[in-house]
Amino acid sequence: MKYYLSLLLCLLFTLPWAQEANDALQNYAKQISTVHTLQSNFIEEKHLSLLSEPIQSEGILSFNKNTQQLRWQYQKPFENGFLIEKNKVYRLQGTTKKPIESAMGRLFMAEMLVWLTLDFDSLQKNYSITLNGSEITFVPYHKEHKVVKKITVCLEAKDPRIVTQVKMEEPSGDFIVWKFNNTQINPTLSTEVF
Amino acid sequence: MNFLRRHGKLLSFVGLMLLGSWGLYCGILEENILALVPNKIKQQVSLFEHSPLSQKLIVITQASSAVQAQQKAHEVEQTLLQAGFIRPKVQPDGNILLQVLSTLPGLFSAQIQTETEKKIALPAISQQFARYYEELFSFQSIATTERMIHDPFNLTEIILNGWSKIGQGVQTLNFTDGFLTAENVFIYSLT
Repeated sequence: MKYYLSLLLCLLFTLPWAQEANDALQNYAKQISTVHTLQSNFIEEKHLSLLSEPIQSEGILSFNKNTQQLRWQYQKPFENGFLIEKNKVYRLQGTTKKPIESAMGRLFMAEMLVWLTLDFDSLQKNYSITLNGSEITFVPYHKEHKVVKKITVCLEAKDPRIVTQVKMEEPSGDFIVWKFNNTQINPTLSTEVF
Repeated sequence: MNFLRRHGKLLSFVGLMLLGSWGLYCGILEENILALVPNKIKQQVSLFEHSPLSQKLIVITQASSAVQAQQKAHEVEQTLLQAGFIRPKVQPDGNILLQVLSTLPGLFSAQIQTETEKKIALPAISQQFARYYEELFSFQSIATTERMIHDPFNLTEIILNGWSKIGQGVQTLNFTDGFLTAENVFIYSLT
């Protein structure tokens, strides 16, 4: 009996909180949906067990939701990256762009769009989402996930449309941190950008 | 004493017979097919005996559709399982690449040997490490870091090239339920 009472009390206290968190997420989703174009500088830090020290690269991210174009361009120390144009994915290597025809490429493209638009409806199908202030944590339901153990997305407190940092932890203990700065929301992006 | 002197030989013979019978009763009878192989090629055959290929049977079935070909492969597999063959366990959540590789014939040709030697030569190693280093700074490293650890010389590439030859002239090659299948063409079974 005590057990059921405790459970009931827990539910009574957590349900309003869960509802509150869900409302906050929906509010974020609503604000993020107003982002049609985006450009941001990023610093990528990889902490790999393979290497004794973390490695760092820099680049620019450009995104146009309306035309479904995304350019993830590394500038330092090597010039490479990838480009998504509607249904096609290209690998960027220096000045060349090579199409990626595989199913993996299409999956990657779909996944990237879900993350960039923070499509909570889609993400909720695969991840348990928790909210702590302006920090959102995604933990895959599938415990044996090969790549992701946890993803933490930090939004700017004043403007939640701006992502300031993303940390992706892998089951191996390796992790990658992307720090975004100089983020412009809804800038005019010329076709040359992509 | 006289009895022993008189019948010593007979007793020794009876004793030897008893020991021999006991040895035959306790011993394990072994058959070795090598005994039937001509002396000229015995050495080559005995080397081949320990090759994984000698324990692997690759069955190719052909039908008008991939589904029918797979059904046939299943029938053959069932017959072979009843005859004592073992099917390697296929783990649905395991590494798909390793599963596919285990399905392939375990051939090690002279060409593979040459390619392997090239891959482990110093210039190729330096080149491969430079390529991996650059890849570490790219987005795809999320999926490839593990491969770098397990295959620093990228020897898998040689096997994958061999795999791509299997599918030559075929648009799609699928891996389902432990079978390599190609639309309307053929099936590679792994029994």
